[in-house]
Amino acid sequence: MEKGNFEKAWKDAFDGAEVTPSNSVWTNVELELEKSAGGKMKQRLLFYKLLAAASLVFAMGIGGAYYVSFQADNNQTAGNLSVNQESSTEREVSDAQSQIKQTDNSHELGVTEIDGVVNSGGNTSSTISALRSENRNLTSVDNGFSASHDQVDDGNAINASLAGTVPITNQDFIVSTENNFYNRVTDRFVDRPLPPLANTSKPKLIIADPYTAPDPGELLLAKLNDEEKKYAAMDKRTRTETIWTSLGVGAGSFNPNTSSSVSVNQSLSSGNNQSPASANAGPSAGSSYSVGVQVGGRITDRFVLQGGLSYLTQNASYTSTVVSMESATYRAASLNDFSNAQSVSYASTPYGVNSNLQFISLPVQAGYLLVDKDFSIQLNGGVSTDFFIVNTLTPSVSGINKLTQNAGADSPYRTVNFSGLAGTEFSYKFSNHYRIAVNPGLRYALNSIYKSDVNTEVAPITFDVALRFRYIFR
Amino acid sequence: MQNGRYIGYMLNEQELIEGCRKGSRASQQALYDRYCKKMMVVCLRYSKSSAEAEDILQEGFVKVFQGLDGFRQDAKLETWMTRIMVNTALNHHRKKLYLFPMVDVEKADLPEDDMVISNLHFTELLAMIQSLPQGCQLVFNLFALEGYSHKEIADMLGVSEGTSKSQYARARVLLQEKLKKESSHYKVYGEGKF
Repeated sequence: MEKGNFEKAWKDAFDGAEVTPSNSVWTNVELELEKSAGGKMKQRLLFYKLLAAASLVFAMGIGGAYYVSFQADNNQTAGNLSVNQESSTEREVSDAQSQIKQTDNSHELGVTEIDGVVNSGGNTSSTISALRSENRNLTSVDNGFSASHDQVDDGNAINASLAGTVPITNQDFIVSTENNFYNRVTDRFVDRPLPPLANTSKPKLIIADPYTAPDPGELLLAKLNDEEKKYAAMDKRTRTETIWTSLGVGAGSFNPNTSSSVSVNQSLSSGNNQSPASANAGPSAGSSYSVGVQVGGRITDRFVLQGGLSYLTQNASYTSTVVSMESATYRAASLNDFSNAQSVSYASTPYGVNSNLQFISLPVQAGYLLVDKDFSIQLNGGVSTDFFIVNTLTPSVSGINKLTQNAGADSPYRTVNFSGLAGTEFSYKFSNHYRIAVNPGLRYALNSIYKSDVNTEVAPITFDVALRFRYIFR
Repeated sequence: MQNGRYIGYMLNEQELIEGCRKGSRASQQALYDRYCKKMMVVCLRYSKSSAEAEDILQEGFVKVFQGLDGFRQDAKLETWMTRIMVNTALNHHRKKLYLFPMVDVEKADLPEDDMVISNLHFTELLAMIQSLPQGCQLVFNLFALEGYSHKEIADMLGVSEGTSKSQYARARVLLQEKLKKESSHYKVYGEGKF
């Protein structure tokens, strides 16, 4: 089909056409984009959290190292000063010795013992101040006095008892400081002003209280996560229960619902003028049983379609006062006998007859899910095509044979019948693949099961309850 | 974040595309603002109500932003976006098509009277399209307004070419009937009625 003026006119009419959508569309688009970016955002947030934690640990490490270094350097400064001023110390010591000698010849002054042990830091044993004070002490010593003082620095003590027996030598101090390797290595820092190693004003580390100040990003993620879960649950339900098969059995009551009877008077060979009603008393309510398989599928979120195949048997009892003659024996009379000129029927004493009808049924039903959860409620409605198989009339007395009537041209029964179906299904999903269901339902024959020439309308109504096991494929 | 409403006036299309590719929300908003009205018309043509059209528009724009990396710029951005909107609309209707399959109908051509079309506002034409049966609406849009061939339409909708043709013929008949009605109304009341 070629495109002509008609199509062109329509196309032109829509050229440049614009309609403003509502503001909610952009909001929803934005929300969808946020939702899809949610996964990426989570990863990013995790990365930033780890980064923040690593930074904090790093900062604490650096701060700790600075603190230790700062403390150590304070001590180093003092120790190094003593080393650097070694020569001056020596001079001072020798001066002190000479002063001692000058003050009183009758007293000898010397270092008797040095209790203090220079520690590994080694930088605190002999400070300038100690030496200076010692020297001062030495200069101020009078005859008969012994001077001693403890110089304590960083836990190391030097006890210098001046007993005047051992002369003090510069070498003692030099040895004590030579052991201090660290001091000598850091000599170069001694004479220049050191920059501040740490900020003395302590910065406050402010950590947001997670209870009072929630992270808006986290909140959004949580909200999106909830929504995602909700949609995932919905999707899962619709996605996971789309095709199934079920096996079921049913039992219920069966009402033949006979609306008229035949005129049998002319057919009866005996002189009993029986009324039609008394010939075959209307069947009373009986029972119905069924067994079958079904296949179903979900068409939309709420609608399902299911069909299947089932075997249906319906029983009803009635009292008959007619027998038919066949091959010189009596058998139960059927309605067909009354309309068939060839058959011979006789009036009899009343006897009970059990009528059994059997069908193969092909039901097709649409269902609407009122409740779509593990426990579900579904309304069903549809039609069933029922293929008549056989009818058996079994007399309750001996001497009268039973009658079996199959489908076919001679049969009074229609081969194909239609029934309306309506019911409710209550089901429970007890595992991923299985659901059990109870289906109370009504089956109403849309046509008489007898052919039109039988002059009797029988449109059975069945109310039954079926129990079905459903296997869910996916 | 910079507001997309302002960025939209400052940046050209290429810059907006680049911004969107980088995930800039402002650029996305600007691009949306620039094309949402035209795309809304496309969505309205494929839907029965404004609410349905907005659903399609929303879904379509999410696809646009998510698929912008794959846009090779062989075609105009507007054409590419229109194609995405159309595909989104078709997906939206696929379930319904499954439930209410299209059937062949008898062809019947009426004489063309395109003069009336030019006299009508596009909103009236839009209402006519929306009143068409589902299948007719889709096929008419795809054939007459998007320019697809019946073979392409058949492939897109999973129907036979004959079905596409017959649906289009039916759509055309229905539209021409509506146009005829409008035309008589127009002749009686003249332009003043608008």
